[in-house]
Amino acid sequence: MSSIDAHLPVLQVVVPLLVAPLVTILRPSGLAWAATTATSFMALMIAVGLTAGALEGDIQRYEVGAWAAPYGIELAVDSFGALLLLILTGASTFALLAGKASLDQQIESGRQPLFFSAWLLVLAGLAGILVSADAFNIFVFMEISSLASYVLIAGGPDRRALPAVFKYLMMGTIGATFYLIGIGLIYMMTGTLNLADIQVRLVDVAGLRPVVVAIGFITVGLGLKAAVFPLHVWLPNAYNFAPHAATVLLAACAAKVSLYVLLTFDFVVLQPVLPEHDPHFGAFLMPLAVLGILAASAVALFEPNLKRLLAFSSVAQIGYILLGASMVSLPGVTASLMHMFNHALAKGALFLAVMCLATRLPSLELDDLAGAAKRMPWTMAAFVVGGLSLIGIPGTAGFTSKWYLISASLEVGGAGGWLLIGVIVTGSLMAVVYIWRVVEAAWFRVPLAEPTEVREAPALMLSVTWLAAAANVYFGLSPWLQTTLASNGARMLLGEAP
Amino acid sequence: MFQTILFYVFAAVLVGSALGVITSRNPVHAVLFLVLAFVTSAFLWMLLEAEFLAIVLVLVYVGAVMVLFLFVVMMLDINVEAVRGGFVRYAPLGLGILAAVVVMLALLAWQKTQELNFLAPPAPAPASYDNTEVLGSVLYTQYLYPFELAAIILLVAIVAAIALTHRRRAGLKQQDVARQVAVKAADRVRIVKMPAEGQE
Amino acid sequence: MITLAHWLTLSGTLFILAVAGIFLNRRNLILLLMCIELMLLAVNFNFIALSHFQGDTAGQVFVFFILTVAAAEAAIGLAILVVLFRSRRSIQVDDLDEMRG
Repeated sequence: MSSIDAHLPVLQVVVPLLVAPLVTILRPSGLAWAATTATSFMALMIAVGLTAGALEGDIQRYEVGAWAAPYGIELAVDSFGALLLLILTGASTFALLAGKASLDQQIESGRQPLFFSAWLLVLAGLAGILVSADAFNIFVFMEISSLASYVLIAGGPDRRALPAVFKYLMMGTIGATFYLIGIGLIYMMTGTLNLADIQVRLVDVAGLRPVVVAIGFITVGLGLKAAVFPLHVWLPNAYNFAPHAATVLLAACAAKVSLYVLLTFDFVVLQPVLPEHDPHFGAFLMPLAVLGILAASAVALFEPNLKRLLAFSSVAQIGYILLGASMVSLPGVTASLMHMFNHALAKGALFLAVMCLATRLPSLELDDLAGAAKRMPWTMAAFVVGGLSLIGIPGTAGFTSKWYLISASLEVGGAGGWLLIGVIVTGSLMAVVYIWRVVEAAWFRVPLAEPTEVREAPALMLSVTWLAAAANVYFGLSPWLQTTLASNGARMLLGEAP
Repeated sequence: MFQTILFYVFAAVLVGSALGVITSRNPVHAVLFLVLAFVTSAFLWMLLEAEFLAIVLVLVYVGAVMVLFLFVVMMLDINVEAVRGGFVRYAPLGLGILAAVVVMLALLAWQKTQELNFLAPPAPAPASYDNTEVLGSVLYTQYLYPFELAAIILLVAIVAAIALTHRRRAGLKQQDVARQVAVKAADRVRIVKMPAEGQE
Repeated sequence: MITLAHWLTLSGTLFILAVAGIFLNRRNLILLLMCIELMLLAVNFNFIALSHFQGDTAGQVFVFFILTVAAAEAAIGLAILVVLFRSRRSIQVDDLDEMRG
């Protein structure tokens, strides 16, 4: 390892954090955009470096300021974290590169530097959650990223974003409060707030009721932030009314990072300690996951607005991710982690295509999409590739995780396993239908009024969208990256040797 | 004994003011009740020997955050009568949830904590105990980095609040330095050639 | 004799009142924010009481951070309300549903 490699975990957070205040004073706004994009790209390169380390199978630890663990902050990047860092920085870079024209359209240039500063703070906060290994810092970084993401969502021209973001703020704060109550109860029982110490001391008090209640509070609190099915009500409107570029970033990673905290907490801290952890975890989350897949897909079937349709589909995809994790088996958790990666690829491509459409079309109601494919054939073709990946057609990235999910369900065995397969297949069929609704509107419907001049999206935006769509195909044909990272990450979570 | 009386008095005031927050008709009254709740909490925290946080709560919370609330409530000039319409409508639901959580709490907090043995009240700290010093000595050593992260939260709050509420008023004269620097001679002066009058 | 149970019950009562307040005042956004503040105060009570009874300062340090977060949350929430009020002249939840879409 060269000297810079050793510092990558801390640079991942510090670089965007330091640029964020600088960006606020950059004028004109094009310069702020360039600085943000460059920083985001640098973060992507750091994430690639960390992923390269994770692929070799070692957990990269870093002590901030070279202080040993109980005093300094220890950062740790494992395969799971590297996988999500890759998604996060990749989505951010793609969204920024492609989003210049769209952001210029949606946000007046005077406000753009502040918007980009908030963007970098979201990036730093989410990256901070992924690299830190301590209950204190995870909480603080979680708040940094959520507070900044409220600004991203409210930054657009649509005034309806404000009630949506207020709802998100309320739900997010209540989620954080629940998490805090859980941490408080655990503090009562163990007298420590350090994750490693908690694990050691929980052994003595594992069966007591306050610990169980604490775990309940923490699960519900993080579930709220991750938009797990009955707690997802903030998500569709927040995604829908956010500026299109911000939607790409948030849809690809915001909820997944909360899921990361949930899974890490449950598997790394609690599972080795609590004897009845696995059945409880599965019994609690599996029904929610199944209901989430079915109910959210059903809503998407009837949703008239393209962005809301995709947002509800996101809720359903979070269901798939939870479904894999709730099986508490190696194939199941592997499938869950892979689906995080694949869903980010598919949704990223889809929302990028939506951004292309939005720069040229007056609205994103399905009725207004009529005939769009004739005028913007490249955009719609990229949309279809993303859609196929979302459905899970062989040859696209989405197929690989669906395949793993189904084989994990087979391993569950019995009627339950077949029932789960039924749910996965039904969910995918529903995805076929709601993606088809968009395709049908864009290709086969005759526009009501002849729109004046609808052209293909700007070249840069379109090429980045196609890059994302091509990534779906590439990782569908050779899924080595997500498979390796996901199986390493799953082994780490379940405490097996890699 | 004296402490017990103080606890019950302050706890009663705290619960009463919390009730006031959630039931008062006028938002300004609600904010003032909230201020009372925070001040009472500060007294109670002193009973717990957390003097530093008690002072911080009064200075920062009551002094700054609550004033911000009051400021916004008064600035927004909310129609007081209209605000309360939903109260009766949602009352049954609220009371139902209240009852459910009370039962849960009674089971958990009261019964279970009595059984646990490490909960005996600690001996009062000696007169030389300095809460601020103790807190400072861990805050700047063991928790130095989390402390710096907390500063970033405040940075986020600043950026967020400005990004949300900042607006340019139309017709306000402002300098745009970037445009001034980028200006070219051609933007300032236009030389027009035209024949002089009456020359021919 | 004030035991830990007394403190936890007090904080629990406060928390329940705050949750009830959220359900009772669902129509008024600024009261929702105040109820959130009460909830966080209850959480702080838990941490301070536990820190006292455990004889450990970590709980008090955590309260320090929660206070920071709560202040930031309040600032952003109020900023959203101000922008909302500018464009709507109202912060009633019912009035905000009009442009659903």
